[in-house]
Amino acid sequence: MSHDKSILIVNRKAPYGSAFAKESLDVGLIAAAFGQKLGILFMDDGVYQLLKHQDPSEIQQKNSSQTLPMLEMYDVKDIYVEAESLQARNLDAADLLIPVEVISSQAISELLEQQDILLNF
Amino acid sequence: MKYSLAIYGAPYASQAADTALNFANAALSRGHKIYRLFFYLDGVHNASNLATPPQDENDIPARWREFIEAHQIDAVVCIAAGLRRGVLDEVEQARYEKTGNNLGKGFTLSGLGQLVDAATHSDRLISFGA
Repeated sequence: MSHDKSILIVNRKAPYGSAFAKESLDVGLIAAAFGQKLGILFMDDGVYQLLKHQDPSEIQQKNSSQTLPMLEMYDVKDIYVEAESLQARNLDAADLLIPVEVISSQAISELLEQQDILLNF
Repeated sequence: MKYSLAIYGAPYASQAADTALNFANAALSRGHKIYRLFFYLDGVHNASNLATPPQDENDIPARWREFIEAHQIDAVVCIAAGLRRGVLDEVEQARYEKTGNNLGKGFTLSGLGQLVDAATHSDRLISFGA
């Protein structure tokens, strides 16, 4: 496995209502376990994936946010959140379950530009 | 150029699977290579050989099987996503004691590592249906 390529996973969808959030996190954990250079970006409704105090038990879903702290165990440190997406939803970094780097949409353009591979979910 | 395709859309639910198949054909006809097709999320339904569309409709799963066989393409279905959605091969049928299996000829069930491997070994990874 070549380790020299950087991967950025881009999450743009809400945590429940579709399988994207859960299955994206699985990809992140596998990529991290393989030792890839990995970043994860949350934007648009994807920022809701990071909210504290999620409890989807009434809709018969697993709480996928409980898996988020595993990213740290796998040494995934580059976790980004788009500032404008938080602001538009009246959220800030204190509402989020894990430490993140909040960056502007302009900085996101540069971040995307630097990546070898983007995986959109 | 060496491409891999990640297919997340189910056939008949969105245009994603059709577009992926058209892209794959176009890439080969222009002399490019396909390193791997990776079916994930609802895209795993493309690998079902039980899909039975009306005869006057585009049979997307059959077209994938023909494409894969004709060009000997590596076509991987995420095993976890497939099991959840009822796409099984004979081995998984036996393991989980199910009444049948439906993984189309030419497809293999494997893990998400194959997606990461495809991403790192291709010049471009294109996702369909995200």
